Amino acid sequence: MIVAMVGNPNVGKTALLNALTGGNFEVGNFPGTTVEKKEGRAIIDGKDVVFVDLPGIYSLEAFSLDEKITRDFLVNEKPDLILNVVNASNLERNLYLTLQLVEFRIPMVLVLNMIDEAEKRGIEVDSKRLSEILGVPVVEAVATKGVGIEELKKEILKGGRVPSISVGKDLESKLKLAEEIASKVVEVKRLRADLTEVLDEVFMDRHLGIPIFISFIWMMFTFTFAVADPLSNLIDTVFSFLSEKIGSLDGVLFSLVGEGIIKGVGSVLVFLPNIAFLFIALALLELSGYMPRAVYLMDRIMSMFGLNGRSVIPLVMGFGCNVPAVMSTRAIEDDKIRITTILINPFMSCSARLPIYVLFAGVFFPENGSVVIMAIYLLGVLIALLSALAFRKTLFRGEAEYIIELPPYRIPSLKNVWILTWNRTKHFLEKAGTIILAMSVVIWFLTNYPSQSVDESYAGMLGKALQPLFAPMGWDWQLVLALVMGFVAKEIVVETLGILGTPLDQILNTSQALAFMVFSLLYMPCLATLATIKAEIGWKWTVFAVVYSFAIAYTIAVVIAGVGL
Amino acid sequence: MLLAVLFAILASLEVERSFMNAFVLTTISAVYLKGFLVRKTSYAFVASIIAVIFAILQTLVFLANGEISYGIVGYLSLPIVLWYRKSLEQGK
Repeated sequence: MIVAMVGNPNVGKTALLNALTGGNFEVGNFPGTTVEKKEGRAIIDGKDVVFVDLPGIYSLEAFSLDEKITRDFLVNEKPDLILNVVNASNLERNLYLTLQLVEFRIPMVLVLNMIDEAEKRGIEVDSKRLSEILGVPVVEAVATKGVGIEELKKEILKGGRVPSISVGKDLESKLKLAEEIASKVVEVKRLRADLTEVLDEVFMDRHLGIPIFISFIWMMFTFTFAVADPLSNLIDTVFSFLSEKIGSLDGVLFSLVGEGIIKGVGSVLVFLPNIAFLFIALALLELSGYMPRAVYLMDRIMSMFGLNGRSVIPLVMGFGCNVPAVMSTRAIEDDKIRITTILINPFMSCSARLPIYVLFAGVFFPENGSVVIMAIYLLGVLIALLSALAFRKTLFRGEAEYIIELPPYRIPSLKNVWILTWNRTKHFLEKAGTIILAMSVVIWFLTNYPSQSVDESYAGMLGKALQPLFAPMGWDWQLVLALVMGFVAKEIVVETLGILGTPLDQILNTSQALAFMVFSLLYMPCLATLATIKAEIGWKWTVFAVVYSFAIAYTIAVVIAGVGL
Repeated sequence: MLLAVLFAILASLEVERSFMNAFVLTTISAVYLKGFLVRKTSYAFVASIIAVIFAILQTLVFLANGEISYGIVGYLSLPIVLWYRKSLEQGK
């Protein structure tokens, strides 16, 4: 049995999928968490049920890619049942999609999710009456707490019902009908100040909103660097000890394992705590519901650069990893804005670049490391916005309208913070166990052959051959080699420097080091991001992304290294 | 108002150690102050939330590397958070 889960963004579809299947899919409190369909499987009373969680959409008019994904799935895959998940606090708007789903003539069960939040806000929904009007079973649920799940399973097994309500073809009649139904089944008992209103009054204050936002960002960086430090030091001590002990033994194999694999992988894993802590902080901001407010606060600034609210979500996701961030642009209806958002996304500093900043800041800015790293992140945002402005004024002219939904504030559950953090950190660990490990062997080989002397090795030859290109920045060939290797994955920059044992403080002055940090931020998307860009918008723009980002990075790095500090 | 003054003093003490920590403390002070000026308790509630989060963070920083910040004083705001949350739940 195939069950399609359809609903507006941020109504708890993924939380419901987890509750029904016992899965660990990422749950957000941020519209647009799901950009691809996800599948979960459950055995309900001996029956094999496949749940397909489709991207959150407001309509099925197929203007944006995620609307198209949902429409195509319903038309081509013909699921046995539609689970239409609606937010009980905002029934009227959600019903507009429901009335569009009616036209598919597929059996449906309507899930009135987040009923607890509606009750808290004094909103009561007559689910029985709603069921009679639509002609489908209606189940009240709180997916995050498992409320209503057993009843929902029973309804799923019964197979739902084809909606009996008759719906007009045009948009206006559907909107009118949604309004009529809502007026019949929704009763607002009392309007009392709820937490969301109270918090929004201050967090979105005209004067204080931005300082509060900057305060939270600073706290996020402090948490990421200062608090994670002892754990990083511990990992460093363990890997250094192992690398030294094994590498000092005689034999090529010991050298490969000690000086190559352990030293290389260890030099990247040292930053695991920083990355995990950054993800914890981001998860807290996302799940609490604060992130969309930050987006709203920045709207005035964003619109000046020709972007709209939907562009901001991929940009924020870019701080984690540019690959899902690029994919999340599918929710953007306007193609010009979508391509612009994809092209500027690699300037948002992903977590893979964090080890480079931490390493260099530790050596060159020991007193103000957090401030410098925060400034690097902000520089990335600034370059992204200026690039967006340039693109929108030249290549992709057009208007940018702004729509963003503000979800209610919620206290993030430990489970959801853990799932979000673990799924993202796991990606980093997988890279450490695969590509970074493989690259440590490659780098070890390049640095040990044909000569044991690094200067005369293949790595030395490659680095020296390319070094003249970077002479204006005053970088040593080892740094150039690290950047070349970093094209595969940005963590490999640090790995290469670790294997080479590059004494940074002896080959760089402070401004050259800062130029290197900025170049690493901007110079080009990693291989995985390029592959995603190619898949999303084709070769032409992928090549453009490489050339453009390299030119920007090169110019700024030359200026920083040349001007000095 | 008392808390606005307290956090302003803490910010001035903190500024030599960390400009950004002082910025956070100033922001907290400003939120308390605006609440006092516009006579809305929601501002005191949010300022207290930020102060408590900052105090927790500074405690973690202290445990991690021994650095102490005046931000730890933010725990003083905890009763306001608890009281306001309770009154919200009771629908007052």
